[in-house]
Amino acid sequence: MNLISSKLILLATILCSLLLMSSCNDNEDDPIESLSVAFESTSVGIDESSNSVNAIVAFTRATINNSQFTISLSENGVVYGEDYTTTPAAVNGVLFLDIPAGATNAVVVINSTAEAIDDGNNLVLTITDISGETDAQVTGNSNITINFSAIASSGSSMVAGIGGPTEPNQVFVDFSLNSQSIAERTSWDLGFFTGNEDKVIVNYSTYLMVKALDEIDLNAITAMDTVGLSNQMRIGTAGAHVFIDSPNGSLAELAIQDISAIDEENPVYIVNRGSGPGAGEIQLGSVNVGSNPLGWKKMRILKRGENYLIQHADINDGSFSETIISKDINFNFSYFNFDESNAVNVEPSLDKWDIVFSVSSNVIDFGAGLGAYGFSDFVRSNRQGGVTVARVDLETDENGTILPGQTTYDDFENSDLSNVSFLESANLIGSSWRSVFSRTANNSRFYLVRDIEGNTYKVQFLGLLNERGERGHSSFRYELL
Amino acid sequence: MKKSLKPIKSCVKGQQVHFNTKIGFLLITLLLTRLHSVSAQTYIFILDEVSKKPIEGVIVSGTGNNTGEVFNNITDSEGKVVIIGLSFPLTISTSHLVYETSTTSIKKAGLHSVQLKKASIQLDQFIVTGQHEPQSIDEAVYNVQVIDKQQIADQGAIDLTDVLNNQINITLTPDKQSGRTTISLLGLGAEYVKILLDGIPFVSTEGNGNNVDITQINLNTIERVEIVEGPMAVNYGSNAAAGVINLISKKTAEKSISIQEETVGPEYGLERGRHIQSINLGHYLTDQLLVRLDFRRNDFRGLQGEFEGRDHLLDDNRRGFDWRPKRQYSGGIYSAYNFKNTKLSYRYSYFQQRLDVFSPQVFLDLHVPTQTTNPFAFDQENKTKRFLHQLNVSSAFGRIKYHIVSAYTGVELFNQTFRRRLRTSVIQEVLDESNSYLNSFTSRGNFTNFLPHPNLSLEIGYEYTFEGLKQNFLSQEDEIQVTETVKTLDNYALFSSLEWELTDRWNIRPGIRYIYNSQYKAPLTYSINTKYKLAHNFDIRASVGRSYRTPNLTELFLYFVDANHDVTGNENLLPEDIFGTFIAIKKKIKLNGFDLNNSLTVYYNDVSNRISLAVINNEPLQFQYINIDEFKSKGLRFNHTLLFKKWTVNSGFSYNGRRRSITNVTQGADAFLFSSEFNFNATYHLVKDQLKLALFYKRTGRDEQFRVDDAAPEGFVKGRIEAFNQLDFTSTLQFSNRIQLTTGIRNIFNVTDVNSSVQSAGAHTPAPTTIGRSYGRSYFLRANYTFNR
Repeated sequence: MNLISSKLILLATILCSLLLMSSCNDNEDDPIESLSVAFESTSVGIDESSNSVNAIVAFTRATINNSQFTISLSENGVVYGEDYTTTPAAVNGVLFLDIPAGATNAVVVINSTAEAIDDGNNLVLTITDISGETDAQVTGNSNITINFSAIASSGSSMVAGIGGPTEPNQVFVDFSLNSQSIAERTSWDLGFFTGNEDKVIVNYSTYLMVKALDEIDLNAITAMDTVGLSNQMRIGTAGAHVFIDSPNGSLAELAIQDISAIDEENPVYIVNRGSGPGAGEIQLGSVNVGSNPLGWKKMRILKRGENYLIQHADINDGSFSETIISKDINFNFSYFNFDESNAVNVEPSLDKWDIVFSVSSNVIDFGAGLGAYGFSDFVRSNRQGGVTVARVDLETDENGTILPGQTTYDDFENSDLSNVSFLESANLIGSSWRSVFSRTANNSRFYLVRDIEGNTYKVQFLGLLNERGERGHSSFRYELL
Repeated sequence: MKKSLKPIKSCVKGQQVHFNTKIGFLLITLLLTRLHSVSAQTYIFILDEVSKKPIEGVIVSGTGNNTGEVFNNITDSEGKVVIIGLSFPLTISTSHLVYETSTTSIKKAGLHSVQLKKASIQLDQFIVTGQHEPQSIDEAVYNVQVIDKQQIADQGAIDLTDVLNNQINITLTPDKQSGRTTISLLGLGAEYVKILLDGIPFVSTEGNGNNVDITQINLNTIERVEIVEGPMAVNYGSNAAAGVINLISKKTAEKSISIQEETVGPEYGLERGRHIQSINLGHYLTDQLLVRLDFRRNDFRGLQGEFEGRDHLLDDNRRGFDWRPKRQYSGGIYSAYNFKNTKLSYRYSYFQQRLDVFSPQVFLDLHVPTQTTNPFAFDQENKTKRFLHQLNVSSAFGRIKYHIVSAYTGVELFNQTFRRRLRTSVIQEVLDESNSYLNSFTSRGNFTNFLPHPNLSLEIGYEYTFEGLKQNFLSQEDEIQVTETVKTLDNYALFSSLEWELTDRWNIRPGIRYIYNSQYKAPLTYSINTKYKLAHNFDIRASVGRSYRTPNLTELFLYFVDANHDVTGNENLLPEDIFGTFIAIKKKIKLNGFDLNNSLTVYYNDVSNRISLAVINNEPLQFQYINIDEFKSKGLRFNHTLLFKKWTVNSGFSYNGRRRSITNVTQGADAFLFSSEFNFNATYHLVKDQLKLALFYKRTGRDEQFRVDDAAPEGFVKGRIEAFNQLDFTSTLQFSNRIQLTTGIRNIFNVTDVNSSVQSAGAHTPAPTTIGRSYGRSYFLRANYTFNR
């Protein structure tokens, strides 16, 4: 091999190794994120029914070492040992909370021991020191006020337990109680109004649809009477909006006409029960909420005294079942499921929820006219329970960056409420809080929710994915104004 | 004057004298006296008749006096070949692209000089695409455009986009998001243009040779690009209706390295800009065995533009890049072996590309109690891997010559989605992985020279293609399940063409191809090409033919059905049927000192059975791909090339119209919409050809297209893409024969996003208002070092 060739090969070798080096990735150990700790909320109340409350310290990550928090107690008209005790116990107004390695939160339990404590007297816990943990600090809610009576929540954050990308659950949230109540959305088909009027709603969360037939004899209906209906009574179809209730929650615009005390005035309905959560592999970030059809029914609803009577059967059946549904005024609706053939529990009592996360049918313009379309990640408010909602939109530039000089979620306070008008519409929040395309919550928009007790919360949605990128994990924060 | 594949021996060392071109002739005289006394070898210097400068790269071949004494050699930078051990008298003949052939007899050893005259037709290029045998571009019955390696170097071209950018009748469509660039030719899209590498389709997961991302076609190993317009289905099968682009690889023993540094728009640095390193090593191991190794790394760091890069922490949609960064590696081995009348060659090549998708969406991960955030993003890495094994055999069986090329090639796409914490840039968890691939085996044999008649050439050929493919259908839509499809396709074809020289002036070439495909019924394709030489240096070429486009995987197998949607592919789709006509008229004008080549081309394409996604049922609403639409394109082009002294000037104008029906809504939306293109290229040689300046300009006129708009009363509206101008300027400086520096400015007018209103809104997305054309004005510097001169 001649000289030039060997030089060339040497050069090529050097060049190649340089290239390989430059394309190597750094293999350093992952840096440790710093740990922030804070009380989960700024105040809690001790309910009369229970004599204790947990003051929870939230962590941004699990601890690495065994560590200890120092928490000081500041008493306003209450005395340790007489009015209350804590676990772990406090000595001279200070308690030490031992945190094992790997912990993701910590709890101080406050037990009320007095018969009665004057209104306004309270206890304030403050985290004053953290020892033993790498790179840890207290930020945010460094103290918490313990009230010795029930209070409306001052605010917190939550991930709604919708159940992932098939979104199987309806999640009823009560801000003032920091609570969520979960019901499977396929657990009901119809909701019977418990108020003075005799009205029946259909399940929006399964895209259930009904169509009145010109017939009052349930047994006279066969599959022949439903020819063509399967193509009309479909979600995602123009014109199908007449088979669902108005998504704004108004009882004046329902798919089922008011139930008459005169039996002959109540027609037979064909019911497409819609569809439930799908199965199988789902593309990351997408949902499969409606690929499992729930079948068809026929039914007729009558009045029996103050109660409803539902008659129902499969389409071709020559006989039917009957179920009496009574009204319970503690709830908005009495719910019914065809499979159970009985009343079922779905939502909490009417004053114990503000908004519900639920798959929902909605009415949109198809270009060729209005139609029914199914939405995932939908949020409805408790219209029958007296909840009203307002939406605050911040101005943004074309890239979606919030322009400065506006009252943001963090800045918004009671005094800003003066020019806000609250509306009843149940679908005011709807899908407006998120973008399906970017799979993010709209950060230039927040909501004000006023409950039946008159508490007003500002609510901002934070996301619709979990940190694995899966849908059906809607998160939000809220704060009492 | 065929390109020789004969071995080129490495140059003889010793006697190395620096050759100053200015006083070359004088030095030769000095050399003569010096060398004469020390050597009995024969030195032959080849000089330009006019400038008296040495000519490099002249193939010198000849015979000695005794039987069997043959030699082949090529002149070095001093224009010299050395001949040892042959008996006198020698007969030598020279061969060079630019110079006329000369034959001389040499009677004794020592120093001799031969002066060559420049050939009157300077660039009598040889082409192979679609030919029975390599043909002069002027003689070929097809209309072929060639982009040679000189132009590739002059443009500082890295990939195929760089040289096609200023071609008229070719429109490139880049996509910022995917990093892909696709091509349209004669008004037909990427699925109607077949891209070949030495005759073998360049596979993409979109299909075999069509809808190719041409940014993945690296020109490091490319000798020239042959563009054949007009129906080419008889030669190359499906998806060649608008024509083929055949890349001819380098098969020489060059040894060179080069480095190219580019800005990306205004951005440049270690972590910015574009960095390219290339190595080419070719060597004759024996007289008959050539081995080549080629490697290139192409590191495009993306354009940040108004975006904030990878480590941006705010949820303002400004994270990431405007043009996404990607890194390509390509390499290969080529070996060729010649003995007697047989040529064997084998190529292995490998390509890898990584495209980084830094999601603009930042998830703050707000921890409400502590009021802290820990931002993360769902980032993606898209990898493309491609390999090729290709074996060529050409030989003869009796009088019948044959050329068989077989290739096994595949491409695999691998996508990964993961969560990256942005403060630490740590990838925490891989969330999703998907891959798709297409593997293909192709064997094509061309058999020629059946007929003893000199004016008749018959070609008979076969082609067999196997494709195995797997694809996951992904959708931007709200709800979709992942659907995985694995399919195999077999395609058998027999083809034949007859090239008949009716008279000295008139050639005609009919051809036919019969195809059997395991998936669909392919049409019988045919074409007739003809060439007629008129008086006064006019010649005319015409071709008519029938071609077809195969349905792609999405069109065949898409399945997207849920509560809200019903969109499906259609396994019963027929191939689209395309009838094309192409006519080219050329005239050469030679006057004192300048050559002017003029051409006028016109074309017409008619696509029937065009596949579209159409509403097949209103209640329920169902969409399916069906053969429903029509598409027509027509156009004309003027092109003029002037060679005058040190100038080469080329200018062209084209006017193209397209007409399409939108899912058979033809009322009003079926009018032809026209757009124009204009280009102007000029090259000027300075300082004894050591400095070359080149300018490349193209104006792409306003393009109008109908788009579907449900809000409009007719259901469609006319949208437009605004006109834009591209101007590149390069200068090439030759320092000695080893070092070449090229500097240039691309996109001098700094065209970036162009306003567009041709796209319709998606079901869940608004209509985009711009199309990204380029990342803006950029500067490059290329240094090339060649060893074996």
